[in-house]
Amino acid sequence: MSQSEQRGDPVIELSQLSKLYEPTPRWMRVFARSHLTESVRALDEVNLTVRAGEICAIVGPNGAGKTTMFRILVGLTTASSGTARVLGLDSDRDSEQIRQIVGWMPSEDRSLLMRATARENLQMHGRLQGMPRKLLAERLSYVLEQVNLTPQTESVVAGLSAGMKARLRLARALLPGPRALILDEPTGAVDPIAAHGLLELIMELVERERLAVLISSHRLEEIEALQSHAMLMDRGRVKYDGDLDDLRQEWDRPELELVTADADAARMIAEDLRARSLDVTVDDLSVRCRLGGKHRVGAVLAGLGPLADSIEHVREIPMPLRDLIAQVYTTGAGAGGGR
Amino acid sequence: MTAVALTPERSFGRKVLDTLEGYVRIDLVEERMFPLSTVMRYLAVVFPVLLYYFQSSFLGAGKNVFVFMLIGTAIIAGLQDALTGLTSRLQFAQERGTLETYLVEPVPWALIPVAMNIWRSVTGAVLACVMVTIGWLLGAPIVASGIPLGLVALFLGIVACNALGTFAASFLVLFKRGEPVVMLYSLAASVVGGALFPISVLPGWIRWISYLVPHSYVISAERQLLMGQSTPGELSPLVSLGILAIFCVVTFTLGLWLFDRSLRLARKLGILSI
Repeated sequence: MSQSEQRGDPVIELSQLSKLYEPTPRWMRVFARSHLTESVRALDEVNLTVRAGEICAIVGPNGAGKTTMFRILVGLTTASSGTARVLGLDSDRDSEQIRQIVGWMPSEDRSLLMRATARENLQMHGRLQGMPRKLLAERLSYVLEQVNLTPQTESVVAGLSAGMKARLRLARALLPGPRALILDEPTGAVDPIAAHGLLELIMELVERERLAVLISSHRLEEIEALQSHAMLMDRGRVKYDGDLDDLRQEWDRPELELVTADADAARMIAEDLRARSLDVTVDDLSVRCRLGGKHRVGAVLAGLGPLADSIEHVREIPMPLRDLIAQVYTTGAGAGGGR
Repeated sequence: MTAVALTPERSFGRKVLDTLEGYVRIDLVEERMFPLSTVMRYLAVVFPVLLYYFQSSFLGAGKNVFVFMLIGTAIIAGLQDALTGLTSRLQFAQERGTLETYLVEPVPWALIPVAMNIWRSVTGAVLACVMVTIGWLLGAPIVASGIPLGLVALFLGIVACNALGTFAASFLVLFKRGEPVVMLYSLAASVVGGALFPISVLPGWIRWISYLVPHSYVISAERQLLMGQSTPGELSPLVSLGILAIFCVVTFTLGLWLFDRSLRLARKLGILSI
């Protein structure tokens, strides 16, 4: 089996996708003020492929273009140039068909009918999706069971917790049996434990149902937990596109912590390391320095000579993903990566 | 159960039925969410009927004046929901954040205005009938043989007002405010449509506006059909029905086209939900 077959067929494909938001035309401003004073490039020639059974995490600050990308895919806005395709269907021309095969989980609970029950919310969605009654009844029970909401089937949505509402939004996206899922900050208002459960559920579903998933989140620890393909975006441009492991390999500068027996030894080690142009901090018995470039753990320790005898404990601390991503943004890397 | 191609291919007709059913279901859920307000809405129509009943008794105007005003008021009330329902629903969905959820459903967008307002239009028609029935119970002389064609006129009026509501909804999609337009039209329609008087009393320069609003044709036809007497200077009911039918075809086609174009423009500009 080839690597491509193992990873699944392409489901979501973006090619040179760009979106330029422009101020409303002059004639429209007679009736309502334009929301923009100048053009904003929300997406700039973005390329992306998400295969069946794959999760792609879109990471970026506010205004990076994540939501615009999702909105183009589900047909809520159009691309200025380039193409967005789902299973070969064009997002502009075949928008209605795409909406049949893509499950969209918007970021806000407001998209649910708050005074209706979980069942009523799903029934309404299922009918608009054109699901036959028998299939809808079967599928409704199935997806509620999948998201552990069976006991809440007849509960009014307004009375559910934030985590339950998020799971209901996921159930709604899954109801018609989509081929792709678009999850816009799915854990936004959910507490960390519930968020962890939700992400585990998503990973399980992706594995079992071979879904292609696009997910955005501001919580980097979640992105890391997904062990997915990641795309880092900033002001519409792709800063990195590839696996998080590759990103770490390429950009990680771990911290080395040396714990000594006495403070004098710590001070001398710090001086030695500074002399070798390393960025060093000392805290009583502990010396920390950032590795990277030609400075590897072995080389650093070997260079200490007899001072190394006073070291009692050595620890390598990986760079937090937050710092890793910040480094990619500040150094202005292009759209490189493992792909 | 796998997630591949669960939903069968649908014909356009099937999509229309699914969409109508889906939106009626939403409305029924919303009616059940606030049961008292639904009951109050039906109770509220009793009072205008009582008002015109006692006013005509006090003025000694007789039952004919009572039924004259009753029919005009019932039609205005019945068409009100058809005219304003879509913009208020759309604005509510836009502000509550559910509009995008509706738009990402795999149904043609041009169907949305029809489906979104169907329940309110039907209940509006029922309210008009309830008003006339209460009037009849109070002694208003209603000609039973005029009821079938009267219902046809009411149906055509509702379709025409839905079409006009679609114009306002197109405005709302692009400019985020549609209600002032539709409210102004609605108030003007009760005057130039002749809700409480025959349009023949209007000055000539205003009367021509009456011929541009469907209310005047519906009210005129209903009065002649349900009161069993023709008013001098008014069009015959059949001519009114013919004009209404043409009005419906033209405005509905144009309204749906405009709504679709507005959604497309809003989609291109990225202002569907802001």
